Amino acid sequence: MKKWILIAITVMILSGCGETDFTPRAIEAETDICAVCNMSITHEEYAAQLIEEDGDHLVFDDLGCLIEHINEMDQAELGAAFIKDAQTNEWLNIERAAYVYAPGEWTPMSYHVLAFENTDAAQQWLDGGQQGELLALDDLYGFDWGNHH
Amino acid sequence: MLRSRWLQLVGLLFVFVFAAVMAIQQLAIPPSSGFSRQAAAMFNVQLFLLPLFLLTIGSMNIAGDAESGWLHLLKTYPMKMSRYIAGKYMALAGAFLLIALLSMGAVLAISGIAGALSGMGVYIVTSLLLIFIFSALALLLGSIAKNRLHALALSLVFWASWLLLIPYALMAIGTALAGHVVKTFIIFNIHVNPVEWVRFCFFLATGNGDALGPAFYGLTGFYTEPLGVVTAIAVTSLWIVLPLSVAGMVLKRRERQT
Amino acid sequence: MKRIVLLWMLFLLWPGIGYAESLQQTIDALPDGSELVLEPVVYHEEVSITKPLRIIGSPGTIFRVDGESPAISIENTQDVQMRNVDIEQGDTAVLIKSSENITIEEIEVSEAEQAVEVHDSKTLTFRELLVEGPAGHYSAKGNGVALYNSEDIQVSDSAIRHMRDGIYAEKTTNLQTSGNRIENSRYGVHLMYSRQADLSGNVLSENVAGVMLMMTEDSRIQENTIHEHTSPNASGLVLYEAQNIQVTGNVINANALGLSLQKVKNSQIENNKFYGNQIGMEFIRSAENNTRGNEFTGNIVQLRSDALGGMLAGNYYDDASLLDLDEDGYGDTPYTALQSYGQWMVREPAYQYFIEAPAVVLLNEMDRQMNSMESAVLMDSKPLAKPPSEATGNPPMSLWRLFLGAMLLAFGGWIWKKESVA
Repeated sequence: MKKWILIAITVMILSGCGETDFTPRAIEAETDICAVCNMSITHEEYAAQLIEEDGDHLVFDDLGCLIEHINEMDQAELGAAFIKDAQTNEWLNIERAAYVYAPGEWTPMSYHVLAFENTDAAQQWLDGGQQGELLALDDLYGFDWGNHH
Repeated sequence: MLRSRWLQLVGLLFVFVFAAVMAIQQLAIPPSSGFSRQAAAMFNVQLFLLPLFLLTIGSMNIAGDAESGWLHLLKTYPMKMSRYIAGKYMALAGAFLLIALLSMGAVLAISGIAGALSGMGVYIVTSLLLIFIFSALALLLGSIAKNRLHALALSLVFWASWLLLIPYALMAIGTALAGHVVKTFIIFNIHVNPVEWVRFCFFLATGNGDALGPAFYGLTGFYTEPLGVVTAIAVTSLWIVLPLSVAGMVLKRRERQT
Repeated sequence: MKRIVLLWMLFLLWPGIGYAESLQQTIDALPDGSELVLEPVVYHEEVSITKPLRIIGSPGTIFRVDGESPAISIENTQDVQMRNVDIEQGDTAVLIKSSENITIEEIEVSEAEQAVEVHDSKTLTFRELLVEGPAGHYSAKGNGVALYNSEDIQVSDSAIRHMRDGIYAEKTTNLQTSGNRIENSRYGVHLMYSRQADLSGNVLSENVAGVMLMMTEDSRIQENTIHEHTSPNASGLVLYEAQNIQVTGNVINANALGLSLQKVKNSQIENNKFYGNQIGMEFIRSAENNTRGNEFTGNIVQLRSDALGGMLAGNYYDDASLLDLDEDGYGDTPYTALQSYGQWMVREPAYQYFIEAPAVVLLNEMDRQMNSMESAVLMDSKPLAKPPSEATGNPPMSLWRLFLGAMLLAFGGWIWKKESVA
């Protein structure tokens, strides 16, 4: 019994002391659901992810759900957040990404906002004849999400 | 062992309790497949009662042998410790297998009158698991105990910890720790807590691993693969073999000391 | 007789692909509003319909189309009817765009990525579709019937299996679905940003969720049977950010989670039967809805909620120990849903592991004894004393089990006696 308590305490200390790893994890189609709207994540290319300060991962099916969660959470718990690049399907830190509100583009929850690696990439995409409006991260926090009531 | 008045009472109690739970749950709930309240109720009665009586009766029996000097007497006979252990183990497990069989008879008879019944196969599997694992653990506790009262106390402490205290502790620390840490603790507990191990095997055996929630999808997934099944069998055997061998070692050392 | 002979001759004359005139050319040549009867042959070409037309297949009429384009597309037209054809393989079986008054019935679709896709259309009827999706995970395929920006749609008496969503409706008004059977898909019926949907008499089973209703208003879900949704994260019904929804008279049975309300307002949950679910019903930020006349029987966790709770009035709970001394049909004391474990589960998903564990059972028992009313957020002040529906009778006696049980008892007793004498 004493040994177990000892082992348990060791594990606790080990897991408590380790630096929290803020790298995004892969989406698991079978079990991952959006932490806000509960939809299973079938369109990985629009997925977002948030890592809490204590190392818990939350996934979202659409950028809008992530922003809604951030707006409502205790900011002290926010470790890092990521969004999939609309072009390369790579994770981007939301702090460093550029955004385009493109009402003509479908997204899982119809928030219609796409993320790009940087403003150049976003501008390039717009120059390619797409309709949309360039946004910064701060714009998103107070954004009026189109048809979303 | 079957002559013991105590064990006869336990036998009666089991038959009565299982029949009662069966009758009550059956009348209240339409049977459904999957992890239902009926299945859970039957299983929880097993989880509560079998380890309790196995541990107390088994350990007190061994401790009683040591206390009364019977074990000391045995030394004068050309009998190996392993045979003594095996004999005790078989007697204990056998007695409870008989009790489980009687309870099953009662449940079957009641279900014959009251209506549908499912999960009899699972009942047999979990009974076997509980009886074989906890008989071994009972011998271990009995061999450590100084006397019968000590054996009883040890049994109760372990029974309460495995069944109640550790889960409560996990739930309590979970309010302060991150979700993935709680999950790690729970997975750890499944493997070091025999009650949780049998409970986990119950979910695997009934194909209801999903009832444990998406957080354990990976774990139940592993244990349903061939490699996982082998691992599960290995872990289960370890829970039987390890306590028995340690019990043998402890008793041998005590023999030498006396 | 003449007709049959004619058909037979047509069949003989029709060598399939090799024939000089394609089906498309035949269709193009027909005047508006005419009827085309297809022979029981396999067509390897896709067809586009842009005028009023009746197309009627025969048993054995099959479209087998590979590639990206839809097998049948109906665009910018009205009054099209299509009946009795099979469509195999392909990307989308039937695509309807900007059209009105279209009827599609008795169509069998197999192995298609998406069976029916509809955009910006009005007054459509789908009857007796039989859709069987391709193998693979639901995230890699399309929907049974997908509707976008459309109105007045009926989907009835259809069977849809192994797709992503059985029926998916986005920004759609007045969708009526009845008598459908949807299985083994992601969501049975998935509504987003829609209004006035009516789901009645459908049977939904073994999906990730039977009904997923999101950002939708003024809809009714009634008399459906929703059962056996048990995969990870599965639920019978999920209502998310919805208002004015009536969920009435459904049978919700053997699901991981029966009904989940999340950010739902002004809705009625009435006269449903929740039985044998792992969790009967949950309230997440949905305190203001009427929940009455429902029956909660044999759910492991009957109800759970976040700290806001939910409104309960006049439901039946099989785990309530009630007295009805004044015989008004209601229990004399309120019913309180056991909360300690229920609330923990909502907060931390890993706690699901302890569902009905011995420790939790004991905890529930303590909860029941102490029952602090002040802090209860899920309380029914007028619980029904009897279930609203009659129990479905006990299954018949089983003599062989009675006999076998008695034999086992006798045998066990005999061994016991023998061994204890020896």
